[in-house]
Order: sequence, then C-alpha cells, then structure tokens
Amino acid sequence: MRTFVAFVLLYLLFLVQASVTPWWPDLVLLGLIIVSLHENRIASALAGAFAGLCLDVTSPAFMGTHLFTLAATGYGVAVLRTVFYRARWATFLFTAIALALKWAADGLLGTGLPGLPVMLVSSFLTLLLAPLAELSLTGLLYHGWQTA
Amino acid sequence: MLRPIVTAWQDRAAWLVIVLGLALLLVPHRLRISAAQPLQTALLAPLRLSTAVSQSLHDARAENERLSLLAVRLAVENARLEAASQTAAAGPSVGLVLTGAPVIGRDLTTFEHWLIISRGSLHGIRPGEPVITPDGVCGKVIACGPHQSLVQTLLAPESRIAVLNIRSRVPALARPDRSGQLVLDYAPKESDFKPGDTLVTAGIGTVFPKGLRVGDVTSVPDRPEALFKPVTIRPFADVSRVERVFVISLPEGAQPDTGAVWIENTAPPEVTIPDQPAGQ
Repeated sequence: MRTFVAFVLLYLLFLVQASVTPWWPDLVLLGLIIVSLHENRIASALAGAFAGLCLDVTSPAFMGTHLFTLAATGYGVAVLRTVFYRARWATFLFTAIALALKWAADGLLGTGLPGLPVMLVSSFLTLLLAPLAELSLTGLLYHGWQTA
Repeated sequence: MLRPIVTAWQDRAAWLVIVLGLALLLVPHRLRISAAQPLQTALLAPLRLSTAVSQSLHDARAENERLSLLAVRLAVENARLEAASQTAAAGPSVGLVLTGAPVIGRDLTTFEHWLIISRGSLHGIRPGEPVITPDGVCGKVIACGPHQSLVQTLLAPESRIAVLNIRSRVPALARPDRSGQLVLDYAPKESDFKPGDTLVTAGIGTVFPKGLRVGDVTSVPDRPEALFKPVTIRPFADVSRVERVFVISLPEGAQPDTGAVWIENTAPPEVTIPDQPAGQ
C-alpha cells in the first residue's frame, strides 16, 4: 500500500511538473529520490521507471530516455543509501548526482539541453528544495507506516 | 561494506528495468511514437481535464460578467421605461385614428414635395395632421377638400420636423436638402450623432406625436469650420414611390393633447383643391 501511494505521489508530481515551465525545480526527481531512500531496490527502480515513463510520454520521440535515467537513479539511490546511512547531506549528494545524470541523458539521448540559465536555475532550485522535500515527503509517506 | 549489487533477485530485476529503458531507445522512431500515443492520452488525461475545466470556468466567469452588465443596463432601461410609462399614464389620453388613403396625385416637378390623397374632410381629416407610411413619417396634411387632401412631404423645401436621436436622446430640427435627404439644422458641434443612429419625431415640433420613425443618420462629416454639426439623414419613407399613406387623426370632438403629444399651431395655407384631381 505504501509503495502504491508512493507511485500515486510520483504521478501527481509529474502532473505538476508537466504543467509548469522548465525553470521550476525537478519535482519528479526529488520525489523519486525521497521514495528511493525508503523503498527497496526493485520498488525504487520500478518507481523510477514509472516516473520516467510518465515524463517520456511528453516527448514520445525520445521515449526511454527518462525511463532509463530515473530507473537508474531510483536503483542507485536505493543502493547507495546504505553507504550514507541517514546522513543529511546524502540527499544533496544524491540529488546532485541525479541531476548530472539527468542533464547528461537529456543532452546525449533525449531532447537536448534546455540552455545554461534554465539548467542552472532549475538545478539550484532542485537542490535548495531537496531537504524540504525529504522532510515533508518522509513525514507524509513514511511516518506511521509499518515496515514490511 | 558494499553488498554485491547483482547478486540478489531484486538487483537483477532492477537491472532488467534499467536495461529495458535502454532497449526502448533502440526501438524504431515511428514505433515509439505510435506506442506512446495511448499512454500519453491516459497519463495526461487529468491535465487535459483540468485545462478544460479551467477554461470553462474562465468562460463562465466572462459570461457571468457580461450578463451582469447586461442586467444592470436592462434594469436602468426598465426603470427609464417605467418612468416614461407612468408619465404617459398620468397625462390625458387621446385615442388616435389611422385613416388609410391612396396617393392619387403628385407634384409634377419632383414627385416628392406634394402628394394628393383621396381622403378629405368628409373622412375626418383635418389640416395639420401627420401622414405616415409603414416605414416612417411621410409628411403632414396642409389642406383638405371634402374628398381629397394635400400632403406636404418631408422633402418639400418648406418642411421642418423636430427629431430625436433615440440612442443619445439629442433633439434637433431636420429640413430637406436638394438630394432627397434630410439634414439637421442647429445640431451643436458637441452633440452625439453617429452614422446608423435612428431618429424619431421629438414631439416638440407641434405637428407630429413623439416617437414616429423618421430616418437614420447616413453621414456626419467632420467640418471644423462649420458652426453646427452637419448631419445627413436618409428618411425611412420613400415618398417618391409611396402609393398608400395613413393619416393620424384625432377622433371627432376630441381635443388634442398638449406638450409633446399633439399641438397644432400651423395655419393651413390657402389652397383650394378640386374634388377630383386635374385631368381625371
């Protein structure tokens, strides 16, 4: 049930992301990182694949780019979180690595980079929002749930 | 210590998902787009729905604003009409009689200045009574014989008629020009006349009751040097072709209203009309 709610949350974040400008922070990426900090590896990878699939339908010509990137991000975060157990700066690090992976994938495989100002502003806002997103989404999704 | 990544089944499944994403990139372009279309429809449906709802709300708000304005205008118009109706009800009411009359003669120079109609004093027609057509004001009776009357049309050179712009409520005096149209005399330069405005009788000119259709404004040329606004009017009634007119009469024995409704102050000219038109 908790995983299902996480998927619904990612879908809602995608809807918000799809209706705002590229200057906004990457809400789907942030949501995925927070979900992956708490879910197991396969759930994290599937959540990433689902979020990526959602983003891919907005640019069908490059379908698979986001799916690959976010599935790898989800899986990577789920694996690496054991290395940085609950370290506060780990979220920053994961977000920064995920952003780098995302821009690289967009540039090499996807629709192309959106331009330096957009990249800088969006990345900065995403990093700025990361601690807040961790606090709020962790409180919303994972407090009070019985772990499996 | 890092656990080996690819050993657990979860890891294998996760890698499978990642590889699937990479494999999707190798699928032919056209196939990817056609496969994405149903997904796109399904996943973006809430966005489309919210956009449609938002647009509907926006349209509804705009419509509501428009209707509110319309309601205010109608309320103002209703109040004005109620006030006018009460004013009219408070005054003396006179039943007017319409007498239909065929046109049996015209002046032989312009066909527009004078008409002879086949109804006269024996039919209750008196000099000074207005003559109309279904289109609008035609003129007035200026002399009566027992069976015939002489009608001075709007286009006769001596004709003058007080008119009122029903949009801006500006009164003015209309007279004929030489081109078969009317022009306004003494319309102030600041007065509000626009092409297309409808003019009715003002009811202040003594002969015509208020509210009879006269014509519409065809042009308001901009002449800075003119003292008054040069407004040209096309009469609704085509007096050069009219074949049947109606005379508005008071019932026998009734006294005309005062003020805007009916005042007869013009003495009919001394014209003798034979019982039958010349040549008949």
